[in-house]
Amino acid sequence: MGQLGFYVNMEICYGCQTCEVACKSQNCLPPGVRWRRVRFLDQENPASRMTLSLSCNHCADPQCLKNCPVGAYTKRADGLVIQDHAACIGCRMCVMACPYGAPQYDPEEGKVSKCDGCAARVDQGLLPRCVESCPGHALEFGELSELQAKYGKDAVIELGVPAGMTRPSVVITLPAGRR
Amino acid sequence: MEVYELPLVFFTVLGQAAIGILLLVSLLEMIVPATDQGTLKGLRLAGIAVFPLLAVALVASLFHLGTPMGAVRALRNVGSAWLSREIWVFAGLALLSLAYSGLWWKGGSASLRRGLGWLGAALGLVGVWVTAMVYALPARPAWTAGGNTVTFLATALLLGSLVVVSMVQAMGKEEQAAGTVSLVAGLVSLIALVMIATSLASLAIRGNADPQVALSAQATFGTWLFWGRMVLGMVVPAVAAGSVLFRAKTVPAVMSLGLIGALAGELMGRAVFYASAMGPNVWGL
Repeated sequence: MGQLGFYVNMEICYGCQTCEVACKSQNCLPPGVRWRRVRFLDQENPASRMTLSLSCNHCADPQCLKNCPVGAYTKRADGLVIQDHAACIGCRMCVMACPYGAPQYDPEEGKVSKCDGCAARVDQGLLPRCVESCPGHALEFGELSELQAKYGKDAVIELGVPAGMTRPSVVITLPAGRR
Repeated sequence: MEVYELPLVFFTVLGQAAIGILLLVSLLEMIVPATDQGTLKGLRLAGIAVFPLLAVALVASLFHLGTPMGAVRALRNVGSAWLSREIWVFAGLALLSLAYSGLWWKGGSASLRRGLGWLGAALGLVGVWVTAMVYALPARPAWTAGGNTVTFLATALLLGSLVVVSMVQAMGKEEQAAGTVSLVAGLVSLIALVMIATSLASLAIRGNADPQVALSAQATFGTWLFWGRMVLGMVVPAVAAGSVLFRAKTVPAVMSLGLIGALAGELMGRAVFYASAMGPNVWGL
């Protein structure tokens, strides 16, 4: 199996944050910890707002995995980057190393956690909860190569972070007029 | 909210100070004659201080961890994580320093002590570089391997030289060797101050070309901590070092003031180092 990844269609996302809530509910996340987060990107002239739903991008070159001193992160054969939560010591190197803010530190627990792509659901042939729950079908999940073929490789945008830094497994369609 | 990472501030600054002391004491021991007992007493005090400083630094680092009881697991990922490598190096350095400071305190083979001192200084310099690599993260463009190395090495040289000269000045006032030690230490601390200024100037210059670095530069130069560091950590030690280099006699209190200023300045500067890279949302995400 090839690398799995997410597709985010910013053109039809209207920022309802159902994906965020579904993720928190599915994974019983504590207050303040958001594995998937909807960013509201405001712009002046013309005044407008874009919404961008991002979780862990399960990068081809994950900086969290590389920098974690306990080796808590592993990349599965399907490309999902998962964390051995019991091993985490809360040093936050992954928080420092990830440009997307995917690893989330919980000061109450003293540990970091992050999106695992709903690996357990994926193993059962199900979609990640965020994708399944998106009312606008703005999120998709599947093999990255298929998502790229379907939505065009050009749809992979850098979002400010140079894509070569971690090679994120995400395909994003910008709103019309922003491409 | 600012992210000052205080446990890491104390770990890095105190650890680097210990490395600087190891380096300076090893160097100066070569030029101080055995007859200048007061000066040697000063070096001895500095040598004894190495291990306690490193021990405090290592204990401080544990407070950074959300789960300190699992700290030993951080030794695992030497294959790819610079943090694991850093812990190995500093654990080795702590053991070595224990023997080194012990030999100064209790007495024993001088040649063994000198050997351990040079070995510790070399390992310490590796430690400075490894710490620099821990923070050479592509996601934090304000931090680079070269810039971090200059910053951390400057801390080691500045604090190391000022600790040593303060102790030597206090113990060996009238001796000729004390004057030589002061000259060497004064020169080293001035070099360190130039390195600090260079590293800050480099951040400002890079900030002009790179919008992500610019956010960190703004977060650096726009804080009261930065200006406090400029006065306490640069002007005060520069005056102290200058007084050694350009005046025949130096008042020990001036060197002690220089040391206190430098320590406060380095702690403030390191807090800004962390806050400026971790605070701003540099990628806009």
